[in-house]
Amino acid sequence: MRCAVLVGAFCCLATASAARAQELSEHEFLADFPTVLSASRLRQNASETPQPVTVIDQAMIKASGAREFAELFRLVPGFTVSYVTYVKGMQPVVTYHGLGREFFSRLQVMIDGRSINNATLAGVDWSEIPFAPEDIDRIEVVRGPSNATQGIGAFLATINFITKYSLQERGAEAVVAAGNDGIVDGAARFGGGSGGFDYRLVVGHRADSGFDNIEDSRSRNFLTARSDWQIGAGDSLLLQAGGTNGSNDAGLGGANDPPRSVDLKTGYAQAKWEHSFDADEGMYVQLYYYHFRLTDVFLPDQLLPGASPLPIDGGSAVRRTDLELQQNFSAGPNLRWVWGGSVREDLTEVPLLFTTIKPLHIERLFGHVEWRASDKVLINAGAMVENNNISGTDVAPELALNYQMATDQTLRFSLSRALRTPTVIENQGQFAVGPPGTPRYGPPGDLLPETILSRAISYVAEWPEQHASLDIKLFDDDVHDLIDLIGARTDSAAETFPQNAVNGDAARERGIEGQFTWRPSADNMLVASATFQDIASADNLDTYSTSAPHTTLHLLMSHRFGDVWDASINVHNQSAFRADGYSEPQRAFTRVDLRVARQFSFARGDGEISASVENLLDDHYTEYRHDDVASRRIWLTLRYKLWP
Amino acid sequence: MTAPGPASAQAMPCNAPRWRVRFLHAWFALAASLCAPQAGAQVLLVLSDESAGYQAVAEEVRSGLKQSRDGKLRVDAAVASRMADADTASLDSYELVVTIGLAAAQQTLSREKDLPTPPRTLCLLIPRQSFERLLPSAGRARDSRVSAVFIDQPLSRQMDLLRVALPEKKRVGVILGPSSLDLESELARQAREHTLALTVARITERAGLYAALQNVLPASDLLLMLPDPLVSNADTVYGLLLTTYREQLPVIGFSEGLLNAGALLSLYSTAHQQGRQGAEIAREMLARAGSLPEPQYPKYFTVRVNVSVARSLGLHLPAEEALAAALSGHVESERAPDAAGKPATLGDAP
Repeated sequence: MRCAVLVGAFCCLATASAARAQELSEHEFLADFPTVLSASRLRQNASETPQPVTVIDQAMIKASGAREFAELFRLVPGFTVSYVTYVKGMQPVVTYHGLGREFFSRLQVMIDGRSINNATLAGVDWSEIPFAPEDIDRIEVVRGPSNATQGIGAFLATINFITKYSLQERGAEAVVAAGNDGIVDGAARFGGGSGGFDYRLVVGHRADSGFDNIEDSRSRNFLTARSDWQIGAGDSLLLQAGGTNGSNDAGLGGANDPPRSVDLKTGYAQAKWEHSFDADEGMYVQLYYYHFRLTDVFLPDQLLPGASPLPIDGGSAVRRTDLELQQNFSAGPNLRWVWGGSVREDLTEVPLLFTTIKPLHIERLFGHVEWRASDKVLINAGAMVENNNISGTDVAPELALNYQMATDQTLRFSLSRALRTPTVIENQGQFAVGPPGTPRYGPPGDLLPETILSRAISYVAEWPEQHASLDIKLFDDDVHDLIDLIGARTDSAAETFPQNAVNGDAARERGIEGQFTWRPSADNMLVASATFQDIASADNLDTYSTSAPHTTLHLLMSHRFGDVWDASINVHNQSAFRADGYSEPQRAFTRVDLRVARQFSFARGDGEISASVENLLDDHYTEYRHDDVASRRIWLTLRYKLWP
Repeated sequence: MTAPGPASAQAMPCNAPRWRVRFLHAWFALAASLCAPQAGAQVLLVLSDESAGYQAVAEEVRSGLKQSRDGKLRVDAAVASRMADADTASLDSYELVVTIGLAAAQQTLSREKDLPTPPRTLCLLIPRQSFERLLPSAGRARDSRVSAVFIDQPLSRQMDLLRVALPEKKRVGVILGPSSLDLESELARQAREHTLALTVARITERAGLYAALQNVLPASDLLLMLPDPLVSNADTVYGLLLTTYREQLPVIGFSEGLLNAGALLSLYSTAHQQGRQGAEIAREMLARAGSLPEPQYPKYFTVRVNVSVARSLGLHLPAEEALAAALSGHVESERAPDAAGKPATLGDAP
């Protein structure tokens, strides 16, 4: 039915536009258009946001040469990227200011406004992103807690992947890549449309064999279909759906962790209706559904001779439904505000827990005011009230004052409190609550949310003539009621669920981080970032105090030669650290990545052939665990695009 | 902000009752005039249709001529689409015909073709290229009996605006379509005179727009929109503005509609400003009973800034008043290039 309506409307629009005379007249000058850059589409400038924001755009994505989404965050100040092969195969662990471990995440990660944090333990399904890096328009990274503006789970930081609008990618494109380490990637995309209705289809495949010395190959197929429909004057409708399907080699070889292959499937559907009342006021309503299924049924090694082993079901399934509404208002040029609310339901199945997990229901209300108190002072104030059936009702306020010291120079003082709701598994069944070191068994629902109180001073400067910008953040954050799973640290095999969970630790994080971006011309780019941080914690239950490197440096440079050659280099250096969870110490390392590409034209289209080298010096540093040994990867990519 | 001028134009709110009065007014005049042209009918306003924009220009011309000939000047009005063949002869009886809009100019000039001595005709609300194409097709030479106030702003003024408003943005991207292709050499010359680097993409069909944007935007600090039905229409503006905004580039528009949709800046003349300039020319001509001046660009114009977009892009722009004042200093030097003498040697845009 919806298809019929869409097709009908599409035909009407196409006919109308074809019938329009192509002669220039005064109509071009007198025509009224709906507000395209409405309040809900315009984002705050970097100097006016309540928290520092790093934007990774398509030029940076391309220059980074990354084929793994997580790699993109190495260049963001305060971020640490690592890989772990544990229980379900290889997975990236991305953290901001440490406090990271396998399966868990204290970051909020969204694609076009829908959360991809897995409802089981809040970890991010980095391998289940249903498109390729070149489908991203930009990634906005909010470096700081911001429940009020970024929603549930925006605890340490928020990553928002914003994919390209349908009409940004017209025509047909094919990409193939192959390299050592079993790298076989490919994608095909097609974009078309007319009369305000545009669509894009992306299908692809990515695979590699993971780390050299363990069985952790990964293989995924992915699909995304998107349409953007501009319906008359002030309304637009985004519809998208997609999914991934594939497998990971898993199993470190313990009795309960035999070598095997696990299957992963995800799917999502999203609809977002935006309506603008006028240039300054508008609203949107968004509904999305996300489904994740891990299938992992295996026979454990026989421990007792003669006993017949029972199959273990190590899988899990999650269904998330989320409905959100937001409305933007304006009272003149100096005051605007936004309010909204959302309801979410997470349904989780984890057979290994031998219990039915109660659905998680979260409701939130949020509001945010931007008040230009004077020409030089901008105040952002907001709050989120969250209510859920695990930890009850709590408030996360946020306040920032941006003082414009001079044209293009801003000082920001920000203060915010944020929450991380316990996940259903942390909270479920025999999970316990109690003072550190003395876990006691308690009823579910006793866990408190983790809280962070963040104090930061930032300096934002821009040199428009030079196309350069600088962003420095000085921070002092207190994190309370850190939830940890209690269990013996072991290298041998997977601990089976359930374990105990407590609000067992606190940490104080202090440091300074910054990023300098310089794009003197379209042909040159330099992005440099540096972080120095220190985490203080009693480490009652985990190694929080070492969970981030003291020093992280990253440099990205790219240059275009003679219109057809592109070269870029990434240099990354970080000091030693040890993540939380089932981690091992990770030594300091320096990594150099290179990418060289040549553009060409062939027939009616444009192409590019490129060579990428990751870890050029072949430094065999270990990632999360001793098995996870880095090595050099080289791959070639061929891209060809036919314009419409 | 409206540019300062000798007599400030009255902002006329287009509310419904006012519109109706004006509409009826024109309608009665039309009925009275064309059916039975009377002695003393000296000026005829020909509107492309009855819509409010044309009415506003007509009203402005009419009020500007109120004092002419001791208040005895008779001003009639007609709607182009309703002119019948029988009315053609009556055109002869007017001293001056003022057309409002392209359709009105087309209708009027084509009817005047059959007259032995066509009346002096002043075209308002007409793009320069349309006017220059219309003249030969209507069999009219470019002489002092036909003139125009163009609706478009001279390229030099647009480039001045860029230099004043965004001095650090020196790389200008432009997408030209079939109607605006003629501007390319002048564009290149103006860019050079204003020490701006120009990147131009040309499209011949709508489908080529996004590929053109992909080529232009990476090499540009801003996108300068020039009127072309293929480049800026109801179907393309949405994508154009979204795409450039995603690249964090400002769009410079040529109309209020583009400004409201999301252009950072727009330089344009309102209907009132067009009417006011038309009235001045008519007054002068009637007083001297002489010839019409050369076709000219708007003397009165408006510069507006989209403050929300400026803030989001982190751009600090001078106030609208300051921008308009800075531009009005350059008005004297702006003359419409002679159609025949258009520089043709400067086709070196990239």
